[in-house]
Amino acid sequence: MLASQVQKISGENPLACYQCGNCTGSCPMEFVMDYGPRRLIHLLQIGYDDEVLKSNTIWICASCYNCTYRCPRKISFTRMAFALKNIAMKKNIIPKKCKAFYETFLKHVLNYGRLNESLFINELVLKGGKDFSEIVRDINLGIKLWRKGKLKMKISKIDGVKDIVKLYNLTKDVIK
Amino acid sequence: MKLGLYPGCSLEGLENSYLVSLVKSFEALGINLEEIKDWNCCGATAIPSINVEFSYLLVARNLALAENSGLNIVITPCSECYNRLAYVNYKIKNDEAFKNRINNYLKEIGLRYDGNVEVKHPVDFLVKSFGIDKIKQKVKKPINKRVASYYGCLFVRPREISIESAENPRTMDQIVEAIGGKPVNYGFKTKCCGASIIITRSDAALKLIRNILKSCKDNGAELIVTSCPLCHSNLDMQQEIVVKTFNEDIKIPVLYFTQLLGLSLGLNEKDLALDKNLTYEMIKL
Repeated sequence: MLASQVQKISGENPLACYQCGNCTGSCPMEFVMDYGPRRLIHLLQIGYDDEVLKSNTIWICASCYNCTYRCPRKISFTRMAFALKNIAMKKNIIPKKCKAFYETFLKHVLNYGRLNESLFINELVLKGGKDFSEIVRDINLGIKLWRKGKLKMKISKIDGVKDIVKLYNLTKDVIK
Repeated sequence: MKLGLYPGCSLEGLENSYLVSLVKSFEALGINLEEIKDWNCCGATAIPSINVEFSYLLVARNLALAENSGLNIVITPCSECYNRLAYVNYKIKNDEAFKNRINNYLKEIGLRYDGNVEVKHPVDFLVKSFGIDKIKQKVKKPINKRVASYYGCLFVRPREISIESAENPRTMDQIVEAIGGKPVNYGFKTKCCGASIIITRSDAALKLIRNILKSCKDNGAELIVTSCPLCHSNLDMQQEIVVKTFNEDIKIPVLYFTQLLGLSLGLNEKDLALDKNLTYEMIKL
């Protein structure tokens, strides 16, 4: 059951939710979600696991913790969404743009120990993390950033990269 | 008491002006910070989305390194980093089983963390530890402007890491007041800017940014100050795109609170990397 898997990873129990809807009322991203947080938790409770994992909800959550802050049952939808993303990614259920974003982010952490933002954005575009219309829209911004000297070409890499990779290898199979 | 600094990736990258202005204005207040050696990425919201367990370890390594160098407090200016560092630190300090689990992993890379470090956001440090009165005494050029403090999400939520109410926080407004500014009351102080959703769902994030800018403008703000590189890049860097997309006059200069603080302490614009802001040309002081 997906709900218990979520609890195992996040420590948050979806069954403890009594469906008051404070989370959805507080959610800034609800207007573009398939299901708001309350409905998603309900789907988890009644075992509609496929609907949950295939919903855009978990990828649209901006991790603002507004739902968490206001939940009278003191459970965190934000942290449930983290767990659901962990599980969905293992099953390769992930929108194309998100896949590009998360894979590139992880690559930077494992290769450099840090995120090199300027390089990250370039790689993201090459990996299909941006629509063509977005690239066109953002060209002016790119030129401005370059003119302002905000884009940094020097790579920042830590001495402990090996340790980071070791920690990753120790934990990568925790989620099945 | 040794004060550490965890800059985070964004302050090394696109939002370097936050780091520059933080270090300079803290120096002007007589506060010196020691950077954690060989710090790594905190994982932000991306790594917890990929692997929650790994995300704890990324934070724990930083905390262990800080403890090893004898740092008592780690100043963490990026709200995203602050959120991750403070939350994992809270869990380690309050959950013995969690602490043991994390240390079992850390042992593999020759580290250990005993929970002796405090993680503080610079706004919290200035208001609660350093003191508003001490800031007031050092002000040379009062900022006579109506200033909207934008707190965003991750400095005030969740409860475990927050120093004040997330519904209507006041700490940044207290700093604004101390340096001569007039705090603006508005309803979007802690409404989300979309953060990294600007990358994966820019259409939705642009709407959130528009609402924040509009609320600041409608309530008479002349400036916005931020305390997070993600908020800043969304409100400042994306502003021209927002204005074009919604075709509304919601242009407003966006500064880091450390830049405004630095100006009031008599530092010059160059020292505070003010010219790196995309809304720099709009600033009239």
